[in-house]
Amino acid sequence: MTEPALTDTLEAPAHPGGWQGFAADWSSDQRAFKTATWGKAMIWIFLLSDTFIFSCFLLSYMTVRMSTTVPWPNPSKVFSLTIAGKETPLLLIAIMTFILISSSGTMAMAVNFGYRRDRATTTALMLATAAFGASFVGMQAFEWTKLILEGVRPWGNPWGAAQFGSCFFLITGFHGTHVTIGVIFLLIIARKVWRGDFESGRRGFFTSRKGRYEIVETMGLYWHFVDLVWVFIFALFYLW
Amino acid sequence: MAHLSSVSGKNVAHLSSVRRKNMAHEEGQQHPIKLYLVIWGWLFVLSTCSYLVDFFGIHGYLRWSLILLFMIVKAGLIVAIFMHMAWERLALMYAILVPPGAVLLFVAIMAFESDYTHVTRVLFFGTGEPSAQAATHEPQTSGSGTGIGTATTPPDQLMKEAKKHSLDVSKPEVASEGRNAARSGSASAPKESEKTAPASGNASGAATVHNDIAAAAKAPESKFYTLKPGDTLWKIAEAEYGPGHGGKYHLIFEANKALLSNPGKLSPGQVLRIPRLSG
Repeated sequence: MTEPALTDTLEAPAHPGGWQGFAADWSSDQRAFKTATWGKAMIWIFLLSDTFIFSCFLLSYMTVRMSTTVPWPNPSKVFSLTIAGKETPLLLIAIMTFILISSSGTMAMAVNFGYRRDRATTTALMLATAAFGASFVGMQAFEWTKLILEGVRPWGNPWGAAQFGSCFFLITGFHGTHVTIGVIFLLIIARKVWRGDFESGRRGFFTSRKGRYEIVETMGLYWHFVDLVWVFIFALFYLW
Repeated sequence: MAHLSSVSGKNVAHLSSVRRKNMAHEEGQQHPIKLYLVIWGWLFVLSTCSYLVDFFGIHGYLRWSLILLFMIVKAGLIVAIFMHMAWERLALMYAILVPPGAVLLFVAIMAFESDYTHVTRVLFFGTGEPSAQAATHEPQTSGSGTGIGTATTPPDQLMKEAKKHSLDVSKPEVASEGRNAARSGSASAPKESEKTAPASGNASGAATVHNDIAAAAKAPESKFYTLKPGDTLWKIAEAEYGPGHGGKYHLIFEANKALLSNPGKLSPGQVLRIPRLSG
């Protein structure tokens, strides 16, 4: 009597899709994320919490910008670069945007080649991603230096509302920190891929767990998130 | 845009085929590399579009809606394809994508709140326009001297102004001559004498200031500048010290610290001392 039911559950259970599947997954009194591993679920939840942090920064920026009676400095002018005597608005920021998008592209392909167990290509693409990220941070350092020399401080600037400086340094600084941490972890994971840790089942240094190629995707999720945040910063801080 | 929708249509067709394939594969996300390259290309196109909004100086509602449109499409492509959210089950999608919706409510609340704060600030502090500036000045009990058209500036008002900026003016003899305030007496240091000049210039009604305080040591002469609406310290520094020297605005700020609390907070009509560049 119970025999057929048992064999049914032993086979890979077919999960229904759509709303029914959603209700079934969440009400099943088991793990809710049927196909996502714990690693993927956890990185997504971490990214969700990071979303709230960046949202709060951008929200406070919106609040001070809307409520100040002093004119807000024009970002188009503030971040313009003069090349060969011609002033181009936001040039450096545009280049930084393209660099970060390119790094996301190489990262997405690295994840793909990781699952194909193509170690050389995966490593090369991850190193390319890290190089893009490092050049992004370098350009940001240049931008900070330029603005600090022009007199922008967290408590004031020569062009208008004092809050401009505090918003700029907080938001881009926090994002730059994320990029920097991402570059460091890209290098660590790239080394593991190159050494074949995920083939030989070598244990990691921190958790002493055996890694899988999924870690490349986890890394990728973090990296794409950093790119995603930049999309919002670019639109709301630099273009608005 | 029509092109974009056709591409996304193709993607949807591709998604369903991949989802079917995914059931068979145990190992992670398997998609053709071409998909990533296409998305990469679209992200470039969209970023260029949003940059061009600024480059061509589009303003008003068109600017904001274009910026937001490009931002949302870019974010959607990154999350759906690069982060593989399109292939996850609804249970994960809703768990991650629904909570940020609360942020939108937060945005609405804070927009309402900052609008109210702005209105309150304009009502009580003014916008920095000359008429609003007069309202923010300390009310003068003497009854005369605050209006633009008043003929004399009472000596005690100048004293008050000097005291407000905590300046040491020992035994000053202040004589009022029409709208010109002349001051004589000895200030303890040349620096003090330079500070009192802009301060007395800011006592309303005084259009020009004759400063004949015998300073103990001769300091290099300074120019004075009356702020006009729209002035910034950077602009003044560029005008006074020459193009490319806007960064020296902080010298002007330092010289007028008694008046200015913040380099971004200037009121039209204030008289600033422009120090000479040494060397």
